[in-house]
Amino acid sequence: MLTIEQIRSAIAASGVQCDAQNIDINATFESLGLDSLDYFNIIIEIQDQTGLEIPDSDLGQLQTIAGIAEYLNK
Amino acid sequence: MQQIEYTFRPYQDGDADRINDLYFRITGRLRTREKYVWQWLSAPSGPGDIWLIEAHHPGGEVELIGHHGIMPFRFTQGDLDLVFGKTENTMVLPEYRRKILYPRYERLFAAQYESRYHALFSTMGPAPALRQRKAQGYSFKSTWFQLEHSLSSFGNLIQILHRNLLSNVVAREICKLSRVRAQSTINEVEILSSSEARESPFFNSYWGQARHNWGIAPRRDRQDLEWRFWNNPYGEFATVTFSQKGEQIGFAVLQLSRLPVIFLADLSIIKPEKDILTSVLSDLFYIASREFRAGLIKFDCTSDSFPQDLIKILRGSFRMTALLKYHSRRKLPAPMPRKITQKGEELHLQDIGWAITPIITEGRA
Repeated sequence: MLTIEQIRSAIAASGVQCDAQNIDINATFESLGLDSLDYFNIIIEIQDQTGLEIPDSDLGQLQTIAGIAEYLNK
Repeated sequence: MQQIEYTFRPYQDGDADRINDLYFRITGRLRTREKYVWQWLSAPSGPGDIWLIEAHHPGGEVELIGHHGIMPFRFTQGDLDLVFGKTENTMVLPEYRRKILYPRYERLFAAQYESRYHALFSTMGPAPALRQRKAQGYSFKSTWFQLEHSLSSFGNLIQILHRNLLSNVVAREICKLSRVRAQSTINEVEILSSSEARESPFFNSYWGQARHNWGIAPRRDRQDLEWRFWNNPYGEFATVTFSQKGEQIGFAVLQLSRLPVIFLADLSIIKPEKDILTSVLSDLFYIASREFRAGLIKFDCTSDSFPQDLIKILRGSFRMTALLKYHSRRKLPAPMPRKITQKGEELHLQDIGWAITPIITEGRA
């Protein structure tokens, strides 16, 4: 539903402090130094762009850009 | 594979011990049931708004993983009686912070409780907590200041020594031997224990008069002071009242648990006049030094606590330093997050300063 590039754009649009265009797609957001509020902002942006309501029980699958892409394209 | 399910609900009788356990797991601080009941269930405005987030594990175990609470504080604005809510104990177990989207829960909780309050506030916190407040729509217009006045020639030494239990014994001895620097009192002064303060006629009418001379301010009727200080299980307090020719002019509440450093837990004068503040401070320093052998007196206020001419007096009487944001690399003053709710906006509270003296921990410092 979203490409890797669109996910990068969503991360940039979420306002978190990181270089969204150059993040390793397999790096966890935690390893990039993003805290839980950053993570919340990213997920909200993804929800806004896709119209999905992502339940908490699925968040374990959305800890990396690759994980988000896989989840959205299931 | 079965997944963990997350649910939330408001406080129910019997939750206090589980919440205290969560508090201990996250902060490392023990809180007794008595302290919990005082803090969350006994305020004059009634019990706080308390929300719990639980994880339901596949094996059937229900684990308390998160908590969000609002403590109700009575405020006034002239004749208006207001209820403000202090955000407190917003906490999620670290191992769940990436498994749930906490802000989403707080928005749901806020939708349930906001209509009860004219404004919400929190005091201070680390940078992530401040970001959390910002995400919930709080604004950061005023900042915290810490004021310190040395009552002894050894004020700087006492400041260092009192931080440690053992060296604090030395600090107390130094203060006992030091000469009292302050002059005698100017006003009629009474020093009251908590039990005496509860009965004192001074508080029959004090706030009924003072509230008309201040803007938005924490309410100081007897019931409010009883809860905040005189029934407060967190410390030992002395209440000092000041009068001139039989007319009430102000009071102060002194937190004595960390002598020889006194934390000024509340300070109120009947109206914002320079002469009153000057004489009350002078007497306060004398009492602190003479009666309690204190070496240092400290208190916190916000940048809009007093009119500017009174801030000048405070600057002249105390060493006034901005409290810095926790972990701030840029050394920015700590802001006081506030949010005027729709109910508060209907009363046009958004543009009025708050006359806040240390409401920061209701005397739990």
